[in-house]
Amino acid sequence: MIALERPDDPEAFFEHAAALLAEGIAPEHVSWSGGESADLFAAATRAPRAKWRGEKLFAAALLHRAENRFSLVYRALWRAARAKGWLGNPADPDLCALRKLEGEVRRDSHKMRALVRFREIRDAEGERFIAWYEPSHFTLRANADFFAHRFANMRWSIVTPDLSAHYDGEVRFAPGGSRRDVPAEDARDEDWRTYYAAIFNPARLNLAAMQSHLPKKFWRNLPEARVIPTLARAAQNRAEAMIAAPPTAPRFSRASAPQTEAAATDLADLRAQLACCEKCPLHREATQVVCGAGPLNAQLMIVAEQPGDHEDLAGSPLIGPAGKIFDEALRRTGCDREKIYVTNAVKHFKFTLKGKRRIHAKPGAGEIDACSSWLHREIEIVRPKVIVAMGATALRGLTGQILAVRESRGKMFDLAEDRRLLTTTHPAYLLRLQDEQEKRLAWRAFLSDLAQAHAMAQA
Amino acid sequence: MPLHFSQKLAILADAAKYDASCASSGGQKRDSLRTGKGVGSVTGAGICHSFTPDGRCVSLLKILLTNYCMYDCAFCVNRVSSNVPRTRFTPAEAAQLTVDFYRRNYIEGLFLSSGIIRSPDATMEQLIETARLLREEHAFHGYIHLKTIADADPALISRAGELADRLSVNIELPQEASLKTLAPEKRMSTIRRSMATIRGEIDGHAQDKSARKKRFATGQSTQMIVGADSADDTAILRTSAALYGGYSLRRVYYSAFSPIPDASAALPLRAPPLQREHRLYQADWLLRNYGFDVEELAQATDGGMLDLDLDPKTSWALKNRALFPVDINRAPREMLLRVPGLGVRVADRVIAARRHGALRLDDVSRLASSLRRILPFITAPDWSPGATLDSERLKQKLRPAPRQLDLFPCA
Repeated sequence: MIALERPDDPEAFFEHAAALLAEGIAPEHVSWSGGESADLFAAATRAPRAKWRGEKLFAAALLHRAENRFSLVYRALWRAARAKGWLGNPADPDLCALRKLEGEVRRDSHKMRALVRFREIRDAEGERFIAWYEPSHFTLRANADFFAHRFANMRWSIVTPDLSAHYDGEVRFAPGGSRRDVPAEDARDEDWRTYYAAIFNPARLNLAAMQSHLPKKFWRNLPEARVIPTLARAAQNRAEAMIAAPPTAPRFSRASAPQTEAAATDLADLRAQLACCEKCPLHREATQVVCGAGPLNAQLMIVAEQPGDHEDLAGSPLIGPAGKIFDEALRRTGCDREKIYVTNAVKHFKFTLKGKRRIHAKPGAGEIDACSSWLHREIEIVRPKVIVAMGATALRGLTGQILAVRESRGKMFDLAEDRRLLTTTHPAYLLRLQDEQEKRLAWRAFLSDLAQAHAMAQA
Repeated sequence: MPLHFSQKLAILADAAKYDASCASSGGQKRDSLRTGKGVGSVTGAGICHSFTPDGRCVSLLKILLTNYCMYDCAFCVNRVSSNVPRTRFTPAEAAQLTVDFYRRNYIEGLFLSSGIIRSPDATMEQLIETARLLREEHAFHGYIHLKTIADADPALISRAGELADRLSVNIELPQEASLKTLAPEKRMSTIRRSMATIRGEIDGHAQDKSARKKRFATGQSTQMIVGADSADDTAILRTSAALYGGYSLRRVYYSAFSPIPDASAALPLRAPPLQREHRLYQADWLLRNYGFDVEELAQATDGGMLDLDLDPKTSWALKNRALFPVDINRAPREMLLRVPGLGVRVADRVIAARRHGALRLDDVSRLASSLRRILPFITAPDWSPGATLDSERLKQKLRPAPRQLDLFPCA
């Protein structure tokens, strides 16, 4: 028979168990008691111990009120020492039983952290917060630290029937007490009840759900529980009254402002109008319209396909992985991004969802065409000398035609008003190429296209 | 006659209760003992400090700083055209109340929102000032959730993130068209843009490995009202999936549209669709934790609506019976997670246990809390569902006995 001094001392238990295991004493020859018949057998040996596997599970289960907790844990330690990997089988009946105890202790700890209610008193040294609580298991000692960390600048006491904890910069434990040791009411309890009553929605009354989370056994120590019966009784009438009450008319007309499409005279105007664009369905899912960026007097305009995930979140064009490639190409060709105007043929991000990821989807012809008037107005405002179409979408947006990038790449076309158009690949295409040789060739072509456009714009 | 403090508290709490979010989990760990001053701690796990008779958790002091509002959102109790009494707390009053409640262990912290007064920026500044007082004057280390006003300046949103554990912008309704008719001053694009700003800040701070890294909110969430417009469940879930994908939201909260005092004529008044809300939470859970794709969930609906009598995973399984039964001893994890009644924890235990030998039904029953829903969909050495799986009556059999629903998600 091993008699532990305290019912809530896993460490002492572990040391006794280590000694018993070392002597090879089988579980059926040991019986345990925790705190009930103290010091009868207090001389039983304890041995220093190594850390156990599964220690957290055991330590928690040992705080349960079930009398067989000690023998259950000792048997588990015994079996674990004899069968390697035994602890790793969650279907073992002994482990299932321990997990059950551990779960109940965990919930009991959680409830204590949630439901302790402090009342403010004044003692010789000033204000002190004191609580009466009735845990189902031996959980106070293990949770005192939580309260110490949380209420570090308070002096507090938690009194339970078995044990009390007092904190004055350090936690001290003392024997248990009674409800009479703690005042029944705090000055703030009334405000708390007011809050509790007001945050409850009578149209959602559901006492069964409430009681499954907050069983009645807790009610007597909760200041707010006093108003539950009244709230529940009045709920149905209140909910019905809300439904029956005559509704109030909205104050403003709900017609949305008419969308004007006045000619934009500058980029700010254009941006404002673009922000309201609903010409195609893409605006429904995208974060925002991504306008072009760059100086008003840019000689060179770059037209990419459409914003991607990064651009959509940040609201700026060509800043994601393809944008990085583009910037690198600009650096190599000695072209300053600050001096060029960068935009997209389609101004909203189009994507499909794969799990939680937004995967870029190619814009359809309808979406490109719906957006092309915006692109043309950007051109009218910026009036660049040279425009570079990067990829088929840009080409379609600029010309209204389906043209193969492969065929028109690197060639100059004349547009109206002496403007020249050069087609090149989209930098995202370079990212997608797998073959190293192909990739090198495409990269060189891309660089030479940009260099050509840059030179032309400066001429 | 000026209102008494407790009357103001009642008004400002009443005005906040239609926001379903109550989580106090996932904050950055810190505490007053280690910091050496003040009060409060965040452990990462949320705590529900009480439950109201609607079964919902009370974790945070959830109030509005003021319920005056310039906007006229039809579904909202605080809209300008509503005749509810109005009041406000000063930031100092709200901060003091939070600390007083916290010190009595009533709450985990503060969830602060506000009606829009003067301008979105002016409103946001008041919310920030309250959080600043808590952090700086009261050395408060508890949880703070700040509602972000969608049109506010990004610099203010960034400042709010430095003070709070969580930020949220409410999407309000699943579709732009509904927003236009029911919340005329709000725009989907503005809301999304704020979410993108918050995501950018959170990601930026998370990636910052420098020593002088500032603390910043660890997550954002949003709320959608269910049943105020005509959007079906598929539309709602698609919107949620896009929000999770685009802005890395921790949570989308669904709030069954509920009758409010002095309701608007623009909306039908009826009991809140609580069961529908419950099924949406379950579907959302499958989306986030079970590897379900939103289109798979859409396919599990009947004409766009989730079955009210069956949980969405069971509905999906019944429409994909050809994939079952699965062998409990061989099925990969992804497939175990598709079995109705098998949760993440149980699936992982099954996988661990079967390394020690073939699992029989007895073993499964020790690992799972109930076998009822699992049985038709698995095989074990001593069990086969036989023809039950193909039976017309399986759906009837799996229907739970009628009872009041529970499982309001929190903490």
